[in-house]
Amino acid sequence: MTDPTTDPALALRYEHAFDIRINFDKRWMFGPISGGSHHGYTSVGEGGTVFGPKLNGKLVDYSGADWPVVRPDGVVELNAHYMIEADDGTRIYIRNLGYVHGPIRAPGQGEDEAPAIPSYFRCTPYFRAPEGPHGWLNRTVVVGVGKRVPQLSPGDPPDHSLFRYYAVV
Amino acid sequence: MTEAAQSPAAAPHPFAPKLEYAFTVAIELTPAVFMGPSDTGQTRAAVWAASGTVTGRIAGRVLPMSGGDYPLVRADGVLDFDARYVLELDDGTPVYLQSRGYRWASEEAMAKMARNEPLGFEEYYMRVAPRFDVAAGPHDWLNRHIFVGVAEKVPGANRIHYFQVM
Repeated sequence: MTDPTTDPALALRYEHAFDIRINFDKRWMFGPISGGSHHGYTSVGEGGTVFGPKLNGKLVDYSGADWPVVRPDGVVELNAHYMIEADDGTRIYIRNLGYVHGPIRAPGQGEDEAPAIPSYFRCTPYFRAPEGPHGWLNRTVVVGVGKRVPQLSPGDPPDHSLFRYYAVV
Repeated sequence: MTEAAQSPAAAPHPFAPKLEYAFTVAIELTPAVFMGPSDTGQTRAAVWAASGTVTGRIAGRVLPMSGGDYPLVRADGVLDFDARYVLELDDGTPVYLQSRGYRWASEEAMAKMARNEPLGFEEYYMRVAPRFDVAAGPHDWLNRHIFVGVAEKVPGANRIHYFQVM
């Protein structure tokens, strides 16, 4: 068996594919549900953009939402469905799955200790697009890095998140 | 401020992806069973995890016959993976593995794979995005990290090299 740590054929290569900016509409949270988790609802609002070397367009306004599960350990499991409209008019479904959390305490850490686990916002979405120029989305594994941009004061831009997506090539 | 100026690519993104090799799952599979094509025009397949090993930052084995892969063989020729099985680490901890991903290649390379013939790594695309469920404790980093895998198809087996998205 080849050693994957040194075999260049098994290196993971990726290319920047596109970025998405989502402006949010509603944020609800309810629970606890089974196991002590909470369920969230964060809906896609207006004016979302898709921009980058492999895909350009916008998000369809109010086309979906994230239905995340907020686990008792502080990790949020993303579970989003919404729709992209490419510049050529093609509609593309995105299902986004990932993990998001702020700094959290490791098991066994006391309430007064600084959280040992740093914040995290990563995801692996998948897409369904008609065959044609965007068909590569149906057969490419994509990994994303995200950033929350909450509206902390009235002068700030509206509540949104930024995602940068990389195609695993 | 114009929309272009606000677009995420206009400003430097505060994160860049960093991937670290984590571990490799080498898995021997039973012969495939095919169901279809169904009314959707696609065929569901099933292969079971007969045996396997886990090496790297976690080590152990694939729990024999704890599950398998149930890929959709799509009408466009792409295999759309849906794998579910259990790893057993050296300290006895069971780890549930669930994986989505794609395998595709030229018709010629797909035919070689169907005949269980060896082929070069560059002849096909086989990439996965897994998730894990494990008890709280030393391995629970698996519960809160995203991974991507680069897989090798070898006759009767797969070797999947998982990279942790840091």
